Amino acid sequence: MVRPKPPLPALEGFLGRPTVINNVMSLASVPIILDKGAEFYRDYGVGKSHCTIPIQIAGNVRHGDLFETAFGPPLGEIVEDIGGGTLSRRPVRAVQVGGPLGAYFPPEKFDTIFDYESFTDAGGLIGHAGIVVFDDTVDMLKQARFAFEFCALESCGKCTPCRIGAVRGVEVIDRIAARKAEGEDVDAQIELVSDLCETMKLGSLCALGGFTPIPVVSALTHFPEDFRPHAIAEAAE
Amino acid sequence: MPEDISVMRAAAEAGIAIPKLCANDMVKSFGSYRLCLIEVEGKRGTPSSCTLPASSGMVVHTQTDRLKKLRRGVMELYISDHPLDCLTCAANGDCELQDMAGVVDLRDVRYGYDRENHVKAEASDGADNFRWMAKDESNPYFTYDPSKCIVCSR
Ligand code: SF4
Ligand code: SF4
Repeated sequence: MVRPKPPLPALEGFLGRPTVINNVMSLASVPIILDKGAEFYRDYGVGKSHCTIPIQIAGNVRHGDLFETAFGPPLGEIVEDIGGGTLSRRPVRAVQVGGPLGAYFPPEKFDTIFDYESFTDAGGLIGHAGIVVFDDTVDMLKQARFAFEFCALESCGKCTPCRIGAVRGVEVIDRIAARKAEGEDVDAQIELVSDLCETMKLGSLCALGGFTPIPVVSALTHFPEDFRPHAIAEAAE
Repeated sequence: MPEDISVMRAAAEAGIAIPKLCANDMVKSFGSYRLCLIEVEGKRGTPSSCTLPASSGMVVHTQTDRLKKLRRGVMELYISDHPLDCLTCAANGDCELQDMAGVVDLRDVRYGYDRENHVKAEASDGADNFRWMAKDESNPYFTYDPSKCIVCSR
């Protein structure tokens, strides 16, 4: 069961004993450091993001695979040059970076430098460096729903913002979809979803509930037209 | 300052009541309800005061606009899955949930009551609601009504 920090796991962890927790990415970097030395490895990267990162590119992309690169290329270079653009050959409309709870970026943000600091500043995260590419047929309202759905499925149920919030999130998105289809006003529902995101972000006990708002808010911010009826979306432009 | 006491406890001893629900002096803190959230100067985020150890020199805010909105948001979620039965409820007037809904000034639940819940025996389309459970009255001293349970785990 998720428990609050402090105490940090390094001080009091599994069975009440100090516990070191490493992900596969950290462990995979050990051999090269032992072999070539810390400096060799550290000199890769930009700013405070040292070393390299294994990127997993998937979704609607030509060269979906696992690539290791130093921190520092702009996001667009990873999508277009390493990934080779979309498999469908249609224009890229969105990429989600960091895993299912990462932010969606539109092509206008492709100059974002792939390092921890730039992504945090852009309201996103590097996470486990998973990148999912979508072409211009993607419906970002559906992607926002998927974030809440994922959270509801994965929620351990301990804290309320995540346990009830994720379920209500799916419902509110469905209500937006229904109103949008009817050409009705969705302002109150969009305000509700934004408030819910704030409650989940600040109120959840762990990163699952706390990060679920990231994809939702980024979809709302960068693709507002997908959340509104066409007539209203056009009038707003 | 004594070792090993929570911010909530330290505040209570100083005469400041932080809104709370799952915390209770008789049990170990659990941190599920997320109502006793606070802000600590120089720290990001809003930790729960029942689980955060107090330390000397710590500057804590228990009532800010952000916290008020946040607590109301959490309560709105709770009440969106709770019967609106206060007037006929046996606990009316002696209910921590009711008190806290008042403390955080919840007026309106914008989520509606027609969707997923564990409150009604029937779903909105008339089918059985598999999340609903009947009252347990087998104990002569108390009745357990799962539809009113807020799963605080205390
Ligand atoms: S945020 Fe979700 S997964 Fe994390 S403790 Fe709360 S209910 Fe569990
Ligand atoms: S248990 Fe629920 S219905 Fe009963 S008084 Fe408390 S808040 Fe109202």
